[in-house]
Amino acid sequence: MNRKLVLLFFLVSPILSFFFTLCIGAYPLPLSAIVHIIAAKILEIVTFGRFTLDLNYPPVYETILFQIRLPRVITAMLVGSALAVSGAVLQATFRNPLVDSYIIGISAGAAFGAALAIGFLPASVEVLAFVFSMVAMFLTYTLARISGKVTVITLILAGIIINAFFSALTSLLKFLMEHEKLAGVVYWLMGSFATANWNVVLRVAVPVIAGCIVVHLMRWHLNVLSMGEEAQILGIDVGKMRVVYISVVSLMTAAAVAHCGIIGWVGLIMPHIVRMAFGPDHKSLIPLSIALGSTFMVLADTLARSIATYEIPIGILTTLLGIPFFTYLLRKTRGGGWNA
Amino acid sequence: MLKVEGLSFSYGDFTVENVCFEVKDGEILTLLGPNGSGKTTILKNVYGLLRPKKKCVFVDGKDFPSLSLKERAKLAGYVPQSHHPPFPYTVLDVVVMGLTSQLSVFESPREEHYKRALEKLRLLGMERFKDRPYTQLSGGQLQLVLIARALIQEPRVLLDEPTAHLDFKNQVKILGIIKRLTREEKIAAVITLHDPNLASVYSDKIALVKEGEIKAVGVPREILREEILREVYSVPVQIFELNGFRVVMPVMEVTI
Amino acid sequence: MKSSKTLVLLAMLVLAISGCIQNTAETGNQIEKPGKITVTDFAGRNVTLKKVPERVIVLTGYWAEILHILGLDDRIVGIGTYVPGDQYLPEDVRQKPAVGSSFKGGFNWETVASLEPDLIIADWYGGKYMDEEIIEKAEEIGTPVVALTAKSVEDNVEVVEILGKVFGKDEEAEELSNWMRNKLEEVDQIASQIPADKKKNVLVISAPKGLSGPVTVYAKGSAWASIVELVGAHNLAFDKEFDTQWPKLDLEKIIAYWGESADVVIVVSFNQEKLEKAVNEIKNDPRWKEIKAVREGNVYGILAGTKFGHFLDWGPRIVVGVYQFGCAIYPEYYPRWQNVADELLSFYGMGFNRTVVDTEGREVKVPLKVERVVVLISQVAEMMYCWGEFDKIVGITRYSKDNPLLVKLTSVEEIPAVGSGRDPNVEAIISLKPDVVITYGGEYGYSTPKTVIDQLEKAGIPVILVELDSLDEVYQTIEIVGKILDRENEARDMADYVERTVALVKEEAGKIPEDKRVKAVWLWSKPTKVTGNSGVTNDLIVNAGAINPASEVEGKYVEVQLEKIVAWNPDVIVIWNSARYEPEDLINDPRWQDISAIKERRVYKQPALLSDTWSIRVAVLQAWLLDKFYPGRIDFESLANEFFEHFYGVSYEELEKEVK
Repeated sequence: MNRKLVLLFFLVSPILSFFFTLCIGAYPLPLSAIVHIIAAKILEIVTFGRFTLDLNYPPVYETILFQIRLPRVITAMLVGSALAVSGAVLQATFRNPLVDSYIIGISAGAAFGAALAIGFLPASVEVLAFVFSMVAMFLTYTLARISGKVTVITLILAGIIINAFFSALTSLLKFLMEHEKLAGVVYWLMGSFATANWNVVLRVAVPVIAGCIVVHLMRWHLNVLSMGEEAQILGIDVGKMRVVYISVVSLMTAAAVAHCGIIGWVGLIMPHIVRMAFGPDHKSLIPLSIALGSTFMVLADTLARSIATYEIPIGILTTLLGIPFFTYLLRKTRGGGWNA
Repeated sequence: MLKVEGLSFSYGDFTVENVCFEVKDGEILTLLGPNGSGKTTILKNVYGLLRPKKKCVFVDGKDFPSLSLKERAKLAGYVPQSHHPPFPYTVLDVVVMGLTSQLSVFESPREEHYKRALEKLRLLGMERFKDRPYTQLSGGQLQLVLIARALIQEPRVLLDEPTAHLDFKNQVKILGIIKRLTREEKIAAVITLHDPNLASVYSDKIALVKEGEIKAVGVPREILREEILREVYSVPVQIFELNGFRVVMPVMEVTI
Repeated sequence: MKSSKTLVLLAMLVLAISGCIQNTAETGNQIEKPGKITVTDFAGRNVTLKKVPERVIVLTGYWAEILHILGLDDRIVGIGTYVPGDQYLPEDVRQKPAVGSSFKGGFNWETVASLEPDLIIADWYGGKYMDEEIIEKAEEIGTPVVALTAKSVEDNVEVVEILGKVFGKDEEAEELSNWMRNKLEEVDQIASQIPADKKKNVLVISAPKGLSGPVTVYAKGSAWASIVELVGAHNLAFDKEFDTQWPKLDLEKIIAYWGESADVVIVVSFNQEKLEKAVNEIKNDPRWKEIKAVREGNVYGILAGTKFGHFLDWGPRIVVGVYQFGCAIYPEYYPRWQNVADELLSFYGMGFNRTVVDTEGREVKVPLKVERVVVLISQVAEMMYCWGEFDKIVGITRYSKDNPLLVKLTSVEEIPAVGSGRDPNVEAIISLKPDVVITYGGEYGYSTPKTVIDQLEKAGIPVILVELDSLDEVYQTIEIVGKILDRENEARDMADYVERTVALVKEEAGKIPEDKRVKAVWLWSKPTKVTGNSGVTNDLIVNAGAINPASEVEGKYVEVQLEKIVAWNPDVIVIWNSARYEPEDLINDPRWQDISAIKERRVYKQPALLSDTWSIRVAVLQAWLLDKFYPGRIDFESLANEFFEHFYGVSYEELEKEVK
């Protein structure tokens, strides 16, 4: 296959899937209406409102498209790219192809915050989930530094400890909860884009887009950082660089997780696919992960909301899609290193 | 020119005491000694990856370990003893990483940088491997890639631990290349070896290391003497002379 | 084969035991020759009977009970004055002609003679009352008399054996006496485990008429008094000599003798009301507080006599009385006496328990008198509150603190929380010694695990499983809980009232023409989580005459796409009370603006007081929904006020103010 063509396909896939998923939903919108309304909107935006088309569609059509579908599609794409990028960054930082952003305690912290908000505190779920995912990340880092130097091993160990700690706390909260509220927590933990609106888009977009830009600019240094302690002799301060990368992606994932719950496996698998297709060089890995992550997530979400009359939690779907793929990877590499 | 004056270091029970030597441009100094004698520790101290107790390492008169990592990377190339590849980068990608110190954190290497990497590979006869994943190389080839990465920014000093895991052919080949490059590029090289005969052939100077101390420094002819080698290696040896080189042979204690 | 083997074994056992009795018993009985029966009675008389008695007059209920157990009801031809009051006897025995008693009113010898008895079973009080006279008179008319008494608990076992002998019913008698002996042996064993430093000093008194005395104390020579020693404690009255086993002492004397040494006071009475009153008054009387046991609150009542549920008496029931003493003095050592009572009453062909069928269809034996209940469902606790039975709850679900009604109206926060339905603390429950545990059945997240039920049942605690997830289940649970608490009338009233309320709503809803029906959705923890085609809330919506457009989706709580809700375009939106968003959040959300309910501002949050669909209050919620769907159809305010007034004694309006 022509490598350039594939590359192009990967890069434009988010745009294709964006328009594709806009056309799919539970409310029966005729395709022509969608095209008209979108075209009119684009025209309006491009001409700064000087040209408007008078379309004779019920106003509910616009509500469905611009207030319901569009924010959801955008949120899914943002979250997908956030998770994929942070997976790629952390895999390089930890020199370990099997980590994703949850290894440093982000999901466990967010889950605890959400449980606290749903069950006990009159604060918003998003705020507490965000706060506690950052707290968990900070604790992981502090704990990793307890022996003086932050190494890959101490970080992963600290991550395991903090994950266990917050999981235990969450279990305790769940134990103390009424079953109705408990269902709320369980549902949150499975992840969903159902609540996406423009506020959510804004709150997710700012950290995610900023994070993507920063990571994209710094992407090549991930190659060097992935050399581990050895990167020092190439002239970079490994400790400081790790903190920078981890902080940036933590912020991104925390924002995503806080609004949409825990969506597993995306961060793990998207970078793998890109690596298999285009090699491990982060110069291309990062932009391709953004593209693939957003495409995958928006398609998975479309699947989640259109398989059945009810919605399947997106976290369940990504896991169910992710595991066969991962098994395939394991088989392909015969369980050996991902390097061979 | 690299000058080490009274380098001392301790970590737990392990100490390095009062190490002194000097390497001129175009010269190779070999740290020779048995395994665990402190050769790698001395090398790491020289680069500043470990912190010696006081100012003691000077490159062209500058206090080397106090420089930033970036400046140090520009002045000295370091070839690590062992390397664990995280991802299957291409050979070219690995060599170009040697230029990190010349790029800002938001920069990626450009065409010119790849050209320089390619030149270095050509110099080492590795050009045809440039797109090969470096995880698929042999030990000797990997060693050459890492040397290329160390030399790409034309350092004044080369610190190398080249031969630990290589077979004889590759040891000879790589030491030959290092010898050639240091001469041509006027680099001051410090390498570590534990085979006295290889040291005898390729070194301009030998520093005998035992238990963190330098027992003797000097040209191979002066250093390779029976008593002192016996003391350093704790085995009886005999010295022969061949074509102007000193040859070290073990004394057989069992008659056949 | 097996049964015949068992029979042989049993016969051998009986022989062996009777051999023992002959050797050891003081009042042994021997067979002289076939056909002739000779026994030595408690008056020390040798009584010889020519044949097995066919017509017997028995003067007291407790011995009549033994005859009843031995299957001799039809041989009883006459009874004593007080026997008809013995509720442990079958009706036909209690209706036999009465001939008089050893105490009062004398003896109608004419009646005795007319009954042609061949045996009279009388009490022996050592000649104190009319006992001696009765024996003499009877012998005059040629009727043999067996005089029986019980100076110790053991004596009652012997009476069983003597009567067995007299009537040739040795086997049946052995069965009962063996059981009694086994139980008493168990008591012996428990008593021997009580360390010396835990030995308690006990005073047993009769419920006094007046608090100042005189007070009857059970002393040496009284079988009941001896029970104290039997269970491992010390009866203080045994330290003094009195001329009778029932000395009457005034309060001053009691305080002087035992004021500082009594650890426990046991009050005995034949009358439940009197007993409760006496225990209460003693506990609160400043003079009685001079007694250490009273000061420390260790005053316990035990019911005596022949009323059903009373056990302390002569005859076989004394064994249960022993366990009652044990449980009162050493609750940490003795098992539940109710189980012993149940075992004994199986000899009588009755149960101390009633059988209740729970919603799982399990037949569970529950004591007739339930006094201590562990409730793991706060809505059941609510029912108990309505019936004035709340104080019987000794342990409750930890979620009861989330029930606004219980918190407001009861002292629920003082009741120990023993976990919840899905994670009960088995040890805590067992330590509370409940008569019954009521918890959630089924296989839901909140159901009690089967292993826990097993553990509780192994500990001898009956477990009742109920479910409340539909109106029918609520009715069923009301009935079951009513039965357990002997509040069947109240339960029927409650179920009727709730049913009537729901029926009223349904009737009104039925009047709405098809084309006027509103579409209503119920939203849960998030606005996109709706009630699908099942569950209580779907029933409620439908009952209230609305259409649930979300019923096209399968399930109780289902997550749907927001645009689906827009497509349904509901006329009314109801938000679950515990949801963390308000109607305003939806009204201000641009995504919702095209929905009719939003435009018309018909978005309501379920009121806190009606937040519980497992409670009987669900009926009011039902009415509330109708009122929101079709305003003006019913007078919701007065309906709710009346309902709350009726069950909780407070109007809905008032409570609502306080709960908010």
